[in-house]
Amino acid sequence: VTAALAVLSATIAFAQAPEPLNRRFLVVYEHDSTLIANIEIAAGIERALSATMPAGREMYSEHRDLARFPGVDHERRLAEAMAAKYAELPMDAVLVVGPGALDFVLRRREAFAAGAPVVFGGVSPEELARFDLPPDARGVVSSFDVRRTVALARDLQPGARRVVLVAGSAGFDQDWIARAQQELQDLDGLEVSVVTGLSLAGFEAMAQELDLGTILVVLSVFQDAEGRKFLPRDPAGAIAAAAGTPTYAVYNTYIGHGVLGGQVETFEDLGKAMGDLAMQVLSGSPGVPTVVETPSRPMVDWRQMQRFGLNGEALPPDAERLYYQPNAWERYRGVILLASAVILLQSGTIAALVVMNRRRRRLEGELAVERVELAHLSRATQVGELSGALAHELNQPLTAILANAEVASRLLQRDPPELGEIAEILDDIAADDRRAAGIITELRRLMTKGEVAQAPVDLARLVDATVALTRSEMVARQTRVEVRHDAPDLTVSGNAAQLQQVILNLVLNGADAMAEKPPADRVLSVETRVRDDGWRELAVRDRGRGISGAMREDAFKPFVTSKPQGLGFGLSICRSIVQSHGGSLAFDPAIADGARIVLALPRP
Amino acid sequence: MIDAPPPLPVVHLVDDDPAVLRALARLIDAAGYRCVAHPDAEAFLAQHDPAEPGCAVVDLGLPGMDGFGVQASLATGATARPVVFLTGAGDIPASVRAMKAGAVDFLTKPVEPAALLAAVAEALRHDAQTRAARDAGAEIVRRLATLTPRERQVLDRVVAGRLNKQIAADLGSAEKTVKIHRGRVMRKLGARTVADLIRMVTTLRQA
Repeated sequence: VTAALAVLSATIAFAQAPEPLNRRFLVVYEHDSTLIANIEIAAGIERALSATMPAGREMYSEHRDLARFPGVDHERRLAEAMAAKYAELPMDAVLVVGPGALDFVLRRREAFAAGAPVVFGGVSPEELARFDLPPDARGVVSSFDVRRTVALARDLQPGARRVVLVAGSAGFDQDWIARAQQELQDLDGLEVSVVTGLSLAGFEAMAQELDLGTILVVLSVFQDAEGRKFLPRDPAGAIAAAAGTPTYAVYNTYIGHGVLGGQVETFEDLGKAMGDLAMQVLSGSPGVPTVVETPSRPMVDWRQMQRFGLNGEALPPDAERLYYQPNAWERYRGVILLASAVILLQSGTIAALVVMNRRRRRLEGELAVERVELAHLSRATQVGELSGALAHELNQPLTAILANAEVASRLLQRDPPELGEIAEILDDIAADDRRAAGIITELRRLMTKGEVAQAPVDLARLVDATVALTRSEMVARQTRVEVRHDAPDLTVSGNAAQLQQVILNLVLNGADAMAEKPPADRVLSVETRVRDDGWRELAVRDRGRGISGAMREDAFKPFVTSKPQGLGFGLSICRSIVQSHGGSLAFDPAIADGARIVLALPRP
Repeated sequence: MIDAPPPLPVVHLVDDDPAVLRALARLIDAAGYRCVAHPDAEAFLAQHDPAEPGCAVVDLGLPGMDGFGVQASLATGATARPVVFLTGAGDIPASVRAMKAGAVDFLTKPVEPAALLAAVAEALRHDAQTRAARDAGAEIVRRLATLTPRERQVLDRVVAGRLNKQIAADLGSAEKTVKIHRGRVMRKLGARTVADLIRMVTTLRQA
């Protein structure tokens, strides 16, 4: 902290010490201090000086205010005041803005800036001609560049073949004509014509007839043919507003009031040129020119560019664009890039999501197909395991039919044939045939593949049909099956084959569970009912060993089985089938003696 | 049906399937047998009379006691009743087991009527034969009971192939006395030759 304070006080002490290299500049303006032009000039001067002399400058400014105080008395009093004011402050240079100020300074400078070189600006060559310049006076002259203005116009209107110069009726206006014609005399492929001696309305009407094939340049209109006087930028704006082609001018003040543009000088450039010149003078380098031209640059009113649909890319790189409205891309480039990036990312994300969603759907589809396949395979396996019993089941009616047919044939050979008994036998044959067909229908349903359509199904009827299919199997296993339906309507919405498979599984599982019990104890109860909440319920209850708490859920996982030959798919598939029907399948935890598995399906 | 005298053999049919029971009963009836239909093993065994000639046609897969159980029950009685098995699935281990246990035939459903009737006929013939043999043995036993101890001693030695002279020496009696005893034995047993005599005794020993 102490060190920092020491450094700080040293810096302050250094700043307070007298600076022998300090340069004092006095700027004398022709008009008052509030003019935008003066402010811009001051900025230009500051820019030039600070570039070569970052520190050690002292700036002073005075305003002659000639337009409001033209009198010689004021000039004298001002000079006296300045003399008193700057008596102890010798100036290194005096910068002068405007011919009136230059006149004042050249005559009075001995009083307030004796020996200081003069650098002037804002003076036209014509005005400069009136002065008898001392050797230590140098300056910047304004040149209004018609030729480069027309060159700019040719860049923007490459198809133009004609230049129309407009000049008013004032002497100043008329002086412009000759000068402009001289500047433009050797232009290739351009025919130059002059329009003068018209009223403002006449100029407007003329301009209205022009098209992009013509380059319209308004030189100056201080006065028209009818003797009306103007601030020159106003008629220029009026003509430009009426014109069918862009209007160009050499004065930057015209631009922004309807004139499209031109090769113009700006006050800041003027100030900078003056500052540069002053620094050159102070550096003492030899060969400093007496007079330099104010740098000028192309300048356009972007609104007018758009009005005529001109191509901004045709502009020279140094062109200044007033009222430039960058297009969306230029103005919001960052935002657009960011937004594009965001949109791209989003699109990418969305695309990825869509792809993932598709893939998921396809996988789901494949899974569904596989589930159907697996369910079918499992059904087929089950049917295969049951084939002996099923064959027996089918063979019963076939046996009866065969025997009945034989008997009928024998009875027919008797004399007289026992027609009454034959009729009875034929009825039996038909009934047995239907029974066989019914078994085949059920079998086919179990074996059906890939059919997942849902339809109203009577759960009770499905239970009956399935239990009937297992009749022989249950006989072989010495197992009694008791079926009880508690409700008249047990309609559910589902796939009959799949639900039948579930029922078959539950019934066979129940029978398996009791295989080790004595035959008298092998009783399987199958009960259906409608719950209070409308759900349809099927419960299969066996009197086997029962199922432990942990196994109650594990039993539904694939590959979990209590059977030596089982693959452990049965209940897993069953639950998956039931869940795809919006239902549930679980063991009843309240049962200790044996097991009770409950299938519940929603009301259709 | 046409020749009445001996009690008509009965064909017991046991099947839990009502349609099959009805049709097969009809078939057996139409073939001229007397068929009694039973829905399960228990019902059949409850009213079974071993003395009654006949056979049984039993479905192997019965609820409760199955076909093998029926066969075992029938075998424990005084007379083994011939059994024809029916099965829905013709599985070989079951058929082997059935045949070893003495089944007459093992038919797979749907059974050909002719095959079933042939099996029934075979079973009945088997039953009749068994019963005839058993009846013959009983007669011989009854007749043997009429022999005196001396006549029995002579018979044993005749069947053993000894000559009259040797028998007389064995028993310490005259050869003439042996001849008289031998004649009585032949008469009592109804045998015309020594060969008849030997066949009867052999039949007995076999039974």
